[in-house]
Amino acid sequence: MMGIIKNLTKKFFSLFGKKREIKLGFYGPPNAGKTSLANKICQDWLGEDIGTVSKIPHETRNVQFKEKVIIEKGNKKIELKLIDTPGIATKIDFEDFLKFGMKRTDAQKRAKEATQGIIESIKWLDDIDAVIVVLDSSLNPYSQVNITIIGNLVARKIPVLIVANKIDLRKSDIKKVQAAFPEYDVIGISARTGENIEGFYESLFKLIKKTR
Amino acid sequence: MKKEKELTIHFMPYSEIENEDATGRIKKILSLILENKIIIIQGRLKAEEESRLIGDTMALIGHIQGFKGVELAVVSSKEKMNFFQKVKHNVAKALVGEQDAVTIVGPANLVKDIKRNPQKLELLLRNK
Repeated sequence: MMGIIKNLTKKFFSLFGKKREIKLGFYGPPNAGKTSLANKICQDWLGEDIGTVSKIPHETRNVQFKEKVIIEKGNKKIELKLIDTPGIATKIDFEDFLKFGMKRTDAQKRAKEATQGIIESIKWLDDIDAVIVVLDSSLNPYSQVNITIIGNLVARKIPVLIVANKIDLRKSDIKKVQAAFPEYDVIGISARTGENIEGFYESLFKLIKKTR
Repeated sequence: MKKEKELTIHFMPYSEIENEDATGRIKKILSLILENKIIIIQGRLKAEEESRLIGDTMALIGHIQGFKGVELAVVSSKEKMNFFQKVKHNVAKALVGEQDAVTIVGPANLVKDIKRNPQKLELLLRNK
């Protein structure tokens, strides 16, 4: 019932041309670069970050927001609410954090927060207009977490753009990501160096158009 | 004396979960996982059931000693289909559920990784 009301509201606003804030989610496995990309967008258009990044997995353990992010391209303009979600995983082992030199109590705390973050990420799937799935293009894309995330978005009819991040790495292979998800738009970028960020913004406009 | 290691693989035919709702299916899977069994399911869960399985798994970590989560993989013939085969597959799926897939779920303390590439599955087990 709520879904029908939500869709009708969307259609009403699009019919009368009222610009609304699009809720854009960043989803993906841990350490794929979701926050790095969200930070890049926020830096480009607001001059500030959305969150901190780290080499230790599960740095983002709470859903982070940035409202009124206005992106312009030519005479087109979109207003976004960025929703940066914790990385989704099927397992969390606090002992993995010890390898990064963390204290046992800190690692246990991080693991506990990470599990809660994943639950929160999944809940947010019900309240998002479009999603950027961020994958590390230097890793095997055929992971069940990636397939589950995209499958959920398709089932909910949420438009998806797949970002093959970390193209600056030697092992990066965008073709492998494209082969794994042939039915979706895949754009290769490096959120860290900013490589192909213009191409990303073009794809983002196309994605947002699908929500209207 | 060398202690023997035991590994149980539980086969779950589609008929075993066919009439269960999402809650029942996930409960069944997680109870076997908590018994340290690797489960091979005929068919696959719906996308929302898969995400719910992840959510429920996360809720258990930290509450059950030694439980670190699950490893999960699905192999389906769908990816190699052409358009007409996909239509046929979707009709069959609507009638009898997605049975031409295989789902493997194992406890993460036992299964280190499942490599899927894409039609081949490799289970890497932990040395204890």
